[in-house]
Amino acid sequence: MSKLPIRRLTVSDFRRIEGTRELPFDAPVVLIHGPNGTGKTSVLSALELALTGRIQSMERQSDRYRAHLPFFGQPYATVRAIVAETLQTGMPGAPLTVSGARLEGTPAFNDAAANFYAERCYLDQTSLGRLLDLYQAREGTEETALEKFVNELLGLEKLDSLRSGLSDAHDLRLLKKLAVGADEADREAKATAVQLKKESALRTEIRTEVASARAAAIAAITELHPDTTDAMTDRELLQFIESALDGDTTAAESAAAATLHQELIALGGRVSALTERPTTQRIQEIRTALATAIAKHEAWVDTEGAKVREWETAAHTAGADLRIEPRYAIEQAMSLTTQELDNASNIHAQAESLSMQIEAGDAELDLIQTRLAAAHEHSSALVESLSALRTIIGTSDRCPVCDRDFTETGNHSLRAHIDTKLSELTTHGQQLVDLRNVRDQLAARIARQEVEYLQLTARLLPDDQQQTLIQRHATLVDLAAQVAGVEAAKINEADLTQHVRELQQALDNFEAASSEERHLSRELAKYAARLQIDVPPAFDSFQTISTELLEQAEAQAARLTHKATQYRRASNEASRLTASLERESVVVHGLADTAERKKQWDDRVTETKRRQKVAKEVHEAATQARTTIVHRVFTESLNEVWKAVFTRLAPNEGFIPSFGIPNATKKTFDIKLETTHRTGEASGPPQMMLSAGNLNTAALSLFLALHLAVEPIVPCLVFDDPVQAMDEVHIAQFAALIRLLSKQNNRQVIIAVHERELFEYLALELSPAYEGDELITIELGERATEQDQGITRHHWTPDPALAN
Amino acid sequence: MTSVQDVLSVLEQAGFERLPKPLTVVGAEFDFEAAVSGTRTSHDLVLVATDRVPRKRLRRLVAGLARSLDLAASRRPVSLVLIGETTSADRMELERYARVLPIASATADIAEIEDAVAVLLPLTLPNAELVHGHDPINEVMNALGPANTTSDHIALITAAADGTDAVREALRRYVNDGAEWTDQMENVDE
Repeated sequence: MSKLPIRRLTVSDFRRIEGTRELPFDAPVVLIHGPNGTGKTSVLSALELALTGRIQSMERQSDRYRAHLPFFGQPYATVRAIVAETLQTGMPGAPLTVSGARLEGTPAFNDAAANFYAERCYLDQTSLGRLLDLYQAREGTEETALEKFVNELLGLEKLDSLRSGLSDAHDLRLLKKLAVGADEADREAKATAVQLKKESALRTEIRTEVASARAAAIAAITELHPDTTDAMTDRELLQFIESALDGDTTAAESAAAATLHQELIALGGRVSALTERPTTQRIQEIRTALATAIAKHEAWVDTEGAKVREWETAAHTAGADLRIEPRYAIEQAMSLTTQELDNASNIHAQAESLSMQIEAGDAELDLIQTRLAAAHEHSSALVESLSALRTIIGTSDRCPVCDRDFTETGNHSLRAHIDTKLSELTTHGQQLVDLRNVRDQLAARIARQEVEYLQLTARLLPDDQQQTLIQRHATLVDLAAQVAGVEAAKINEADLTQHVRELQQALDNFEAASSEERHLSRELAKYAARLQIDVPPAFDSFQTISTELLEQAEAQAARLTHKATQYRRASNEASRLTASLERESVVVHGLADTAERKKQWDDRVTETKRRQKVAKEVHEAATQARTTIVHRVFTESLNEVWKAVFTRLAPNEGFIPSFGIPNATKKTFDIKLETTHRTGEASGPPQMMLSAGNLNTAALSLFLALHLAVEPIVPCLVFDDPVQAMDEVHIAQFAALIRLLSKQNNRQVIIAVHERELFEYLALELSPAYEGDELITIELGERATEQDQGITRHHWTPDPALAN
Repeated sequence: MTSVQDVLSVLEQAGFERLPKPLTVVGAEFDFEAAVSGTRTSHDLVLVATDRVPRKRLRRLVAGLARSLDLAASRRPVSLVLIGETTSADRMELERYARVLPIASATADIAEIEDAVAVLLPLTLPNAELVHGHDPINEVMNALGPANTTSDHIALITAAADGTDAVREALRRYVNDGAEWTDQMENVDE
């Protein structure tokens, strides 16, 4: 009893029910009988409202159905349900009042129970006929009721979360995008791999280089030190080369040899030059010739030379300039002497002429002087007297001398007369002045001529000199006659001197050659010693020896140059080897680092891939789990239950309705209903394959199957005239099934029917079967007005007919 | 011929109890080939008849039994398992008194018998634990097998409880950890 979900319903003024009715439901089976119009359906609607706060079937018709719920003419309706404690919400037995569109109070069931009741427990009369359609109706993109049910039943949310959360694991690209670390590891691993490859190639390259440098170094040093072995390590080899290079003097030797070679080339030149000269045997000849020439020259000096010197002395004395040729010197001197003689004669003539002019001038001057003195004396005394007289007479006209009145002579005064006289005297004075000027000019001319004369006489040669000039001129004439002889003598002398000089020169040359020969001989000997060649140098073999020495020096220089080159090569190769070894060491270190880094990144990549694999495994397992669950739910539970229920209700139907098993990998299911023949052959959808009656049965069985497939939150089944379209066989089967569900599967069963016969049949079929089992029958209509209000409780009693 | 024995064993398997022959109801004997009654929560009376019994006699027997039960005010539901061919007229006549469960096939096997009497047999409901409330995660574990159920696998699976994003984040961290990547940048953002 305590497990019964629904215990009691109180209905007031609800739809067909006027007044208040208390209806007990606290039995495993409640059968309600009500002929049409007695409120059978109203009771079940009231129950739904009281339990869930809604009436789903009416809600589908109109969302304002609440307005029609109160009994006709009543302002409000009240329903109240008492339910099992585990399912209830709010105050137990709290009423729910419907007034117009308003609803007050809380439903009896909690949300989960209310939902379950509305979906899985209560099958109202109107829904039964179109249950399959209702289940499969789709509004927009929403799930159908069936799909919703299936998805909830499957409980795949976690799996779907798992699957979609891990979906990126299938695509490394997406996974890298999600987990950037993986991307980085992958990129770095690839980059380091490339780097490693590059560095390995570099190492190989450097190893080749080391090998080549080593081979070259060994080749170079082996030539110098044949004791070198190929077994030396690189380091030993380098040390060996270093010590070999330390003791190397070849460079200095080579330089010395080069210098020696240069010197010998120079010496060779001197040798060549020497051998081109005349031999020394001619020296004696030339010495003899020279002595002869000198004697000839001395003889000339004594004879012709004396004559020439004498002439020259005379010529010099005669004023010839001997720096020029004798002929011209004499001519020049003669012309000079002649000119001097002509000059002296001219001056003498001029002096004579001037002397005569002076004498004439003196005579004229004396004359003028005399005349001037006389005139001067006269006029000056008169002027003085007249001037004095004029002062004495003043304005009188009386002559102081004669005392006569001057006026008697004329019409003018004495004074005027004196003034006239004075004026005349002044004119006379002018004449005196002119005369004086003439005198002065004459006197000046005479003075000038006297000076000129003095100058000329100074230039006059004295007589002895005049004589000397004449003498010299005569001498010069003599000397001119001898000029040709002197000139010839002089030419002779020049020839002689020239000859002597030439011979002297030749002699000098020979002597120099002789000295050179001795020098070269010494030099050659010295170089031969230096080159360690035993050849006594003789003049004839100078060229040969020189050539030999040169060749020798050349060979030595070449040898030493080669050796030096060899050392240099060894040094270079050793340097190259050292450098290569250093590079190799660097690269090897880098390579180790890179290899380590690569390993690190590779490990990470490997780990990442392993983790990707793990995620994929989980994803695949989730997919597999999903498939398993979907298959299990559809085949083992849904289809099994549906088949079990359907075959119980319609044992003769050949086609069994079932759910088509959807593709498990798709996230949402497209639920299809189909049928399978008892032979196992798949067939069309139920709507096509089943009769109308069996389609109804299919719907009813589907409702039951859905109820049975899930955890019974509310273990209760409520039917409103479920068997209207059924024939007797089906009714019997239905009754048996309901009994089974009630007695064995502990579902509280509430069934309302309108047929009396059916009511009684069901009352029998569902009668209490064991101790504690109970059946409540509620009869509406007229029976309700009786004492028991039409409510009968049937308790179990032992069966008297069949004792067992 | 389908044996009465097979039918009985099916019913016995379903918790029915064989009643002694002849079946005695309120002192009256009814010569059915076999009869069983339900136990515990069932009080069904199930009669078994073959076509060896003439249909007319069978009808009389069933009607008589029904009357006897009525008289005794017994509320036992009566079912009749009818083995062998039968006419629909006979069957409809019988159905007036009892639920008729025919087994027409002469060589019905146990499954066919079970089908025929299904309505009397307990309903095999799917294991609720198996379907509902059963954690699909366990199914994932099963699919992975013990060899692949490492702590890594489990860590990813358990993240599913918090939804897709949680799984994605778990995957992201898991893979990044494998690559030894640290979320420094993201931590700054956080």
